[in-house]
Parts: sequence; C-alpha cells; structure tokens
Amino acid sequence: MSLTNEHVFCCSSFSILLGSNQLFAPLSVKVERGQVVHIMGDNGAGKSTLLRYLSTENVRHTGEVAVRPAASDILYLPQIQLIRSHLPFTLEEVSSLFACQSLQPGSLVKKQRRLLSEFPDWFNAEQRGKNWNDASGGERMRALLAGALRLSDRAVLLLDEPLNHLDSRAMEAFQDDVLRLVESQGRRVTAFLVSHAPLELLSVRLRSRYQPILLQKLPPEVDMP
Amino acid sequence: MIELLAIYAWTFPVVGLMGALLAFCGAHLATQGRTLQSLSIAQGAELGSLVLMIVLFSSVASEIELASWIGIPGAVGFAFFCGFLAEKILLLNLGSRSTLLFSLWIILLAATQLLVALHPALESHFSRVAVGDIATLTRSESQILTLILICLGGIVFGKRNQYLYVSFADAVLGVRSNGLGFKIPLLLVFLPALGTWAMGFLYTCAAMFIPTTLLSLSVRAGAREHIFRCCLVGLLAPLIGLYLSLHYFSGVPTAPILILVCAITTIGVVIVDSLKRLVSVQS
Repeated sequence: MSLTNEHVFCCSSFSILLGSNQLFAPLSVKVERGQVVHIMGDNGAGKSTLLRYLSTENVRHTGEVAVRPAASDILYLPQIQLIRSHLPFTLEEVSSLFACQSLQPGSLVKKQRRLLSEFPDWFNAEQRGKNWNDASGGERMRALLAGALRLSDRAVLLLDEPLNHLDSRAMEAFQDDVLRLVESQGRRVTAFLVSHAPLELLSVRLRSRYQPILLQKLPPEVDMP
Repeated sequence: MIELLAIYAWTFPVVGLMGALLAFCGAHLATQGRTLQSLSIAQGAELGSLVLMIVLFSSVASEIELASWIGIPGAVGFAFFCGFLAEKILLLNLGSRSTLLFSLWIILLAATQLLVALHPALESHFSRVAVGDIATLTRSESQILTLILICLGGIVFGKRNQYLYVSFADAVLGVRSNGLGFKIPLLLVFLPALGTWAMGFLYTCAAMFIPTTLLSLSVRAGAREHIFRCCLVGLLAPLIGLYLSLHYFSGVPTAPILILVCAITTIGVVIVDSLKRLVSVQS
C-alpha cells in the first residue's frame, strides 16, 4: 500500500484475536489526518477493543498494520465509568486534567485558566462546580468531552461512545466541536468515534473526510487462517 | 521538659514531613484502588529491612547505626518486589483481586513473624519496623531523613498535577497506569518503604490512609483541596502527637499516640466542616 506522512492508521486484512478466534471480519482501511472515522458494529463486534488497540494497548491481531498513531499523539476517552471516585473531583477539575497529559507543570495552570474561560455554554459554571460523584451521566460526559475537545492538544482522538448520556442539544454541540477541530488547519485532528448513534451533521458536512467503518462480528468457532 | 524536646528536636520535622507526604500518597493510592497493594508493599519493606539486618548481623556489620541505614535498600528492594507481585494481581481480570492482595499481605506478615521467631536477636529491630518507635531515631538519622524528605517533597510538589492526572485517569476514565512504571513508584513504593523503615509499618499505613478516608466523609468538591487538607492534617497531627507523647505519655510507644492523635484531629476537622455547612445552610 502507498503511504504518506498524512496517514494516521493503515491496515490490511486486520482483525483482533481473542484466543485463536478473530473478533471481526478482516478489515482493510487507510485513515488520513483530518478525517472522522465512525466505527460501527453490533455489540461485541470489537469496536472498543479496536480503539484500545489504537491507544497502543498490546492486543494480538492478524493482518498487516503499516501505520498506527504514536502514543504521544493520542487522547483516548474510554466509555464513561459510572463509578465513584475517592478523590472528590469537580467536573471542572476533570475537564482541566486533560491538559495535564502533555504540558509542563509550570504552564499548566495558566493554560487551564485561559481555556476554561473558553468553555461553551453547554458546560456552564454551575455544572463545572459539581462533584463528579454527584453529577449525572450526561454532566460527567460533558465534562470529559469539554476537556478532550477544548483542553487537550493531542492530534488523534479516540472517543468510545462519546454520545452516551447526552441530550440532543449537547449531541449537536459535540458534533460542532468535532467539526471545528477537524476543519482547523493548525491541529489537523483525526477523530475515531465509536457510536451507535447516527452522526448526521458530521457525515453531511465532512463528506469525503467522514469514513464509516462497519465491524462485522464473526462467530467464535471461525479459526484464524 | 525543654531538654527532652531539645533532644528530639530533629524528630519533629521528620514526623511532620513524613506525615504530610504519606497523607499525599494515601489520597492518590486510595483513589487508584491501591490500598491493599500498599499494605503488601509496606509489609514487604518491613520484611526486606529485617532480611538485610540478618545478613548484616551474621556477616560484616559491627556498627548498629551503619546496619540501620543499610536497611533502606532492603526495604525498598523488597517493597519493589512485593509491589511487582501485587501489580500482577491487579492486572488479572478476576473478581477476587482484593482477596488475592489480602492473601499476599498475610503471607508476607507470616514470613516476617517466622523470621523474627528464628532470630530472636532481631526482636528490637522488628519492634521498630513493625510498631515503629519513632523516638529511637538517632539525631543523625533524623537530620538526613529531613533532608531526604525535603527533596522528595519538592519532587512530589513539582509533579502534583501529573499525579492527579494518573489518579483521575484511573478513577474516572478507568485507565490503569503501570504502578511500577515511571509515573508513580515514588508514591507507591519509595515513600511507603522509607516510611516503614523510619516510622514502622503501623504508622506508615495509618498516616497514608487515615487522613484521606476520614476527610472524605466530609463531602466537599475539589480533589486539590482534599489533598491539601490531607497534607495539612498529615503535617500537624504527628507534631501534636509527638509533643503529647514526649510530654505526657513517655512510657508508651510513640506510634500509637501519633495514630490516635491523627484520627482525632481528622475527625475534628470533619465535625467542624459539618457544623460550618449546617450553619451556612440555616443562614
């Protein structure tokens, strides 16, 4: 396959192995910078496992992977955990901690303050002051997405079910933010989204840069070739 | 009394700094679900310190003070080994991980007891690393420990946001970081091991987890504020405890007094917080 520096993930006949079985039908795909990859599939098809693989987790696989994102470029947001935290994080702290991934401590607080002031109205001051343990699933997801989309400076976003718990207004705001990031010339963000929801706004606006991937579950008895 | 306090003048900064740093560790380790792993690590440090003592006493060491310092690599080395075992257990996809970690601690505890039973001459050292007779720290030990703790405190302060991110990723995102990787071994292994060597297993575990668990009863938003309050209690409570121990309870071991004072101080803070909240709600 012909590759350029613009490619973020390229694979052919790729599938993840669970024991000796392939999790999904072999996949061949080329993803370039500035694309939105919408990963779809039935429950158990391997969508989240594929994201975990991309987040540089060691997962056994078949096929050839010519390019995969560098760990330093990745922001991985797993499915929201509805567990309680011992430390009483506020939602604002949760958002602002995304900036900790790649910044030096000295510049952190300054950048956090500047960026927190840019938060959209869908993550308002009242919500930001809430304790993570007391917040609803939707409020928690807003905090995580606000951090991932506004504060992180990573170029590859791996978002697992980011629309879970969100109301329709927040879903639209999320898609607007993803569009803004992908279309921005500076950061050239590539987003991998696992979602069962239709991403109509993204698919219509991005057209050729919107790439759906449908993972097809294989029955467990199919052995690897 | 002033003379007595003068003798232990260098013990005060050690217990204060150690208390604050251990409280910081405890807040993060509890958030990362590493409480039982910490027990094994502290127990491993106790065992390692004793093993090295046996090696030294049976071979080269003749000066007690030298042997005492050389216990640190033993404590840190065994703590790393036990931390590694516990990390492997934590990575297992099993529902019984807590029970496995508890079993590991019990095995290490039994090994320590067996070692002491086989070497009765070690009774006093065992007493120090188990119960922790803080008042037996020599002046030179205290001075060097103070310097080490100031340096470690600087490192911890500089990396506080990274530590908070690791705890956040673990508790909120469910992304577990490698405990023995470059990110947190200072919190997970080195400080608890140093604490166990200097202050004993009992005090180390108490200083790590009493402030953070009791303060979490006082529901307030803000992880940074919670950690700051833990460190403040961790700093002040041992100072008060050591003063009370030297002044009023000189006949009993220092560590239990410090632990009780730490618990009472933290409960006091929780009660004051609750009263403040009640008053603000009523007004």
